[in-house]
Amino acid sequence: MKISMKKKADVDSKPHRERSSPETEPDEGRYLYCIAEGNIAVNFGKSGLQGEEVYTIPYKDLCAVVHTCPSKPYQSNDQASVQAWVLAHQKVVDKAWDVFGTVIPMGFDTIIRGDVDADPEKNMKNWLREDYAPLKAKMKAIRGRAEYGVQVFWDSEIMAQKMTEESAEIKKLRDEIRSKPRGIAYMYRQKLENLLTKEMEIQADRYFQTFYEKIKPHAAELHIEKTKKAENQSMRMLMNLSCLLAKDGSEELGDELEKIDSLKGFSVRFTGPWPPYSFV
Amino acid sequence: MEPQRDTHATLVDLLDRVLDRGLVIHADLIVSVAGIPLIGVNLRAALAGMETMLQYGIMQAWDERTRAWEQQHRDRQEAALLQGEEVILKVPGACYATEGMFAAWRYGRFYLTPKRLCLHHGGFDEVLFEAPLDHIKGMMIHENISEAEGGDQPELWLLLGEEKIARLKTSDLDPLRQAIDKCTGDLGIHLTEEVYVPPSDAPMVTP
Repeated sequence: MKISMKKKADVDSKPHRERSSPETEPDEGRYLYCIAEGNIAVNFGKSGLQGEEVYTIPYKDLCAVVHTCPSKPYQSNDQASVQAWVLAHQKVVDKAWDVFGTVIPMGFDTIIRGDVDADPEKNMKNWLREDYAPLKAKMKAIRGRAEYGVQVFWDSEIMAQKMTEESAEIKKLRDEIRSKPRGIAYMYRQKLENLLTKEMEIQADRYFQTFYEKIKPHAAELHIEKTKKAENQSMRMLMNLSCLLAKDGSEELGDELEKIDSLKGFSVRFTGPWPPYSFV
Repeated sequence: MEPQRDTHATLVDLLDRVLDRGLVIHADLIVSVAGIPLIGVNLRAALAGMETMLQYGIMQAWDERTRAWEQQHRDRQEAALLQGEEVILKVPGACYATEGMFAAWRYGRFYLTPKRLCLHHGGFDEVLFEAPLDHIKGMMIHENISEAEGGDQPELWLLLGEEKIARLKTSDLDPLRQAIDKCTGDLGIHLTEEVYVPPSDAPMVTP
């Protein structure tokens, strides 16, 4: 009785097994950290997102740095865990950058999926073959280079004060307010504020141009990024740049930024070296 | 000045880079939902601007909910009818209002009952135009409208009392005209088709 049941189970499972892909589960994917220059099969150990095992898939003189994962994106409502994933992503890219020298970093949550006729690794290799030339061209452009972030902030209070002192029009208006009755003084203050806002915009543009011209000669490539709200309330982000420099060549730019940082009312945030996320 | 890497201040800058940049590869290879690559979706919600969120479909659920609500509540107001009043015809349309801030077409829904014709705006529950059927003296379709006066759509003109003309518009012009014709006929009113066309600056009837 027992034997016959076992046989039956065997028969049942056979067509089922044939339906699924021979090598991998159909819903398996590869989380892609970066493409590195070099052909070495390396295992980075359990250093990936959530401690996943990170290894390389070589193709010609390139390799993809990946871990095996289900074919669905990493998502969470918890900001802390997403932040941990993003940092893990960056750590792996950093490690690969260190080992291979040149990497094309991927954005977070790039997952290569499998198809009916190709598992994810095959899909990955197909892509590396198809895009081999453009990938090599990108490698060449970023070889030996690193990305630095330059953010210039200004203190809006100090700047407003400075503008009030420098602009005759604003100064005159401000003096007039003192001699006016309260109701009228209120209208004057509105007028003053508008004038100040306008003047600040003009000055912001001017400083942006000046700083940009000073920074430009020190970078191989520059990207102007969107300015963000500064964490510090009274500070305003005046410019946000991504600069591509030689890996160890940040000294000149650092000197230039030092000068800007020492100007009254300005401060500079200089970050890096990062893998060239913004130049791929 | 030395570049910084591992301080709290650099964290935001780093997150930006990893989330917003990096190489993007064609979508048919990578995991996505309905063609939209899901890139750190929820952290984006915390960091990104509205534009990015819309671009990545984060606001979609919210948007759909808002639309559903709007759909449900839009025009929920039916015109308040007198008791026992039967609606013979209900069609969307407009009347030309010359009173108020400026002359304009005002849109709503025509309700034709055995007693009256009214144009009702469901959203604001407002009667834009109303005429008892026994006040209607004449009715005509006015085809010849200059561009300046509101386009090429024929209008239904109702003569109300002495030289007062109501200009109405609807895409169901013929059904409305026929229904009004029948209703006034039932009341024993014969409508003239010779509606006197006043010069454009003559007063027009308004609600």
